[in-house]
Amino acid sequence: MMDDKILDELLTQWKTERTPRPDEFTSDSDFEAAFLTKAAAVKRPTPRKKTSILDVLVNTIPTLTANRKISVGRSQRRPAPLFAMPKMAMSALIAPHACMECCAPSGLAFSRSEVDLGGSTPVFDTEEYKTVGERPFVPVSTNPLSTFGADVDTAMYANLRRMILQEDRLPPAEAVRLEELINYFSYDYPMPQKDQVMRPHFEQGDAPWDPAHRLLLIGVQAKTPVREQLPPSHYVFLIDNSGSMEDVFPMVREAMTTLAKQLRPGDKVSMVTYGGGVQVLLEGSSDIEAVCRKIEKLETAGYTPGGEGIQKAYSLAEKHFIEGGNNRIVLVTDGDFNVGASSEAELVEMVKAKRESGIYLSIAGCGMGNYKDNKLKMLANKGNGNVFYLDSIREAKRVFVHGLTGNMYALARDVKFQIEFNPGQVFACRLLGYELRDMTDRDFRDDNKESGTVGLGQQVTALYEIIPANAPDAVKNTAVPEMPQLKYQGTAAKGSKELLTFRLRYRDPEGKKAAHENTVAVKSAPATGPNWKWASAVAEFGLALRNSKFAPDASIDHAAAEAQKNLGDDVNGDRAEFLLLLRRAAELRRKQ
Amino acid sequence: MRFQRLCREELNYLRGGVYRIVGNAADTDDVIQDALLRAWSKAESFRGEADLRSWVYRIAVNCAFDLVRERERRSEAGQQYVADAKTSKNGNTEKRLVELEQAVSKLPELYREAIVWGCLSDLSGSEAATRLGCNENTLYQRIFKAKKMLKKMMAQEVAR
Repeated sequence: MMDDKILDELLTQWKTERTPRPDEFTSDSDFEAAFLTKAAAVKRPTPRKKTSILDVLVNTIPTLTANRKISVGRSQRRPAPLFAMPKMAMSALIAPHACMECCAPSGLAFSRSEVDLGGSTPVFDTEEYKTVGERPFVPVSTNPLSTFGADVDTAMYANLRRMILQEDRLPPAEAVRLEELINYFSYDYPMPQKDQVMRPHFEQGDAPWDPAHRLLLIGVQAKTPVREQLPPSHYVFLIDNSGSMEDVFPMVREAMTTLAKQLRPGDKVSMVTYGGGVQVLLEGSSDIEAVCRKIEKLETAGYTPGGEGIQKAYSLAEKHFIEGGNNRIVLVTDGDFNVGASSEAELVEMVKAKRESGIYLSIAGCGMGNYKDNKLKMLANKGNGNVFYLDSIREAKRVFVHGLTGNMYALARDVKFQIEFNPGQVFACRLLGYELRDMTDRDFRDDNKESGTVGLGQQVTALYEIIPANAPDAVKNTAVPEMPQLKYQGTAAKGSKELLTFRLRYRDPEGKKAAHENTVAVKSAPATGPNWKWASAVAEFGLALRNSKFAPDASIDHAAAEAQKNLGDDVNGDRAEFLLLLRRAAELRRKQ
Repeated sequence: MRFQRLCREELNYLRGGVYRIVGNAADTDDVIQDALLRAWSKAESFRGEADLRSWVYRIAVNCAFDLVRERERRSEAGQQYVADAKTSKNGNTEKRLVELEQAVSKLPELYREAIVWGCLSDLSGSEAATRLGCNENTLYQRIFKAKKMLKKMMAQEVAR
């Protein structure tokens, strides 16, 4: 192997000696002139709709114009410094086409106050996502335990699909929640045995984005119910019919009707709406026809007292509480609670205070351009809940019909996982996703610390990227800065062939009895199977979207190739759809 | 106007990098000219939040590699970058330089652009990273891996 120093010297030499002489190129002025001539001849797409930029600014973001000075009809001689504008870059606000005015080469500028707002993309994007940082590699010798809460939400996937397939754009990188992409798909895990509530399953293989690393899959299968044995339910439909929901409301009506039709004799429904003021439309009704009629008649209007609405919903849920039954609030909203207990913290406190009451919260997010993913996810996590994103009626059916038992009936709550890695086998590990479900190791047995809920028949899949103990030093050193050797660690596990010990802890849905805990030891190399192959392709896609610094070589194209090879049975067509999504995302990535 | 200013600012860095991919000044100018036009005409697909600068770079890099691939397809490989040995004072170092250039041209594109803008230009690490549209650490990792590959390739060259 060649010396680092020699290579660096050679590179420096190349840099200095082999730089082209300036006169080899066309002169700058000629270059520019040629460009301008050609640019003038380029046919740019004709704007579909012209809107005055002033109208846009004044009507749609009054707060902005009030607080910040943005010059609109600026002189051509002193163009506004688009990139110097702090954070509030014009381009982001008047996205995506408006910047053409300031980007246009001279002579081609659009008339000053008219901006192309054509295309199918929304002009104003006030969607909010909680940014999640990525977990780094953790050395097992000093941190053998990895603890996190279960999460079966899949909202991110449906939302992603909406952005890529319907709006032709890629999601903000830091909003991608890997676990929600992976958990969207169903896997073929072994069913729990008679006395088991959940059964773990393990697979391992080389990480597709870095062959020096291994990828461990942990899949947990919850037991499936017998439909006849399901407990009676009381649902509170809490529907946001405020003005911001107008565009998606036809879908909401259809989705809620779909859910209402799934009700069984004995189930009860209350209905609260909060567009323009909280209204109770139904209380403990078991007449499905009446529920559907009420849903059909819903209209959108007014502001969004979301906090008040949630309070009312909880009080109805308590009033009609079914002991030993399934008590659940189904909230349909875009998450923009703009009046009342509007601050995230207040809402969360309220929901948190209710979590011991045995009332569960399911949130169906919808809408675009104004979707507040961060608020909804936070609410659900604190309130024994789950979140879906309804981008289409097909997704609504998936959630409310095929996934009804899993999504609407809880099997276990505060489900926590703790993995103890054997330092003799694993040098370092990194859990992919679940950043919002991070837990400290000591919280594992603290039953006051809340965690995710798992529904009947649901699956939880987690992936660990692992650097094996026998990996070469170069691989280890790039992932983890060198750590001192610990002196006092026990040597009991030395020579143990076990890879890890998996602990699962959960409480019954009512949360009254003591928590249960199961422990499984896993041998050194569980084999790779079809589940692993599919999950790893989904993970690679997620990492590529995230521009993960831990997987710089993850690529959408590679993920697509792997996914295509491993479609499996694909009973409901989800995997084929994912493939379509991947191809579109790859195109969008290339355009960027 | 903004676009124009950006072009002026970036022209030299673009030329420096593209030159090291396509190998001669005439093609370099063609590629950049083409890339800027594409950037300009497809401003439709430009998203507000993306940095215009890195976007222009992405197009230019793609255009450069397109040209290289096109040449390879026309089986002109081998002629694409003929380094001239006449300016050398030290024959041995010169030979190694030619080897280095050949090794770089064999790197996967992702690593090649990392070396070209990350090591062979006057841009700082963070400047190069924003232009290439990646995280600074990612760029460093790529450079690290690229150097590893280069060392391996050149060691094989010596062994031969």
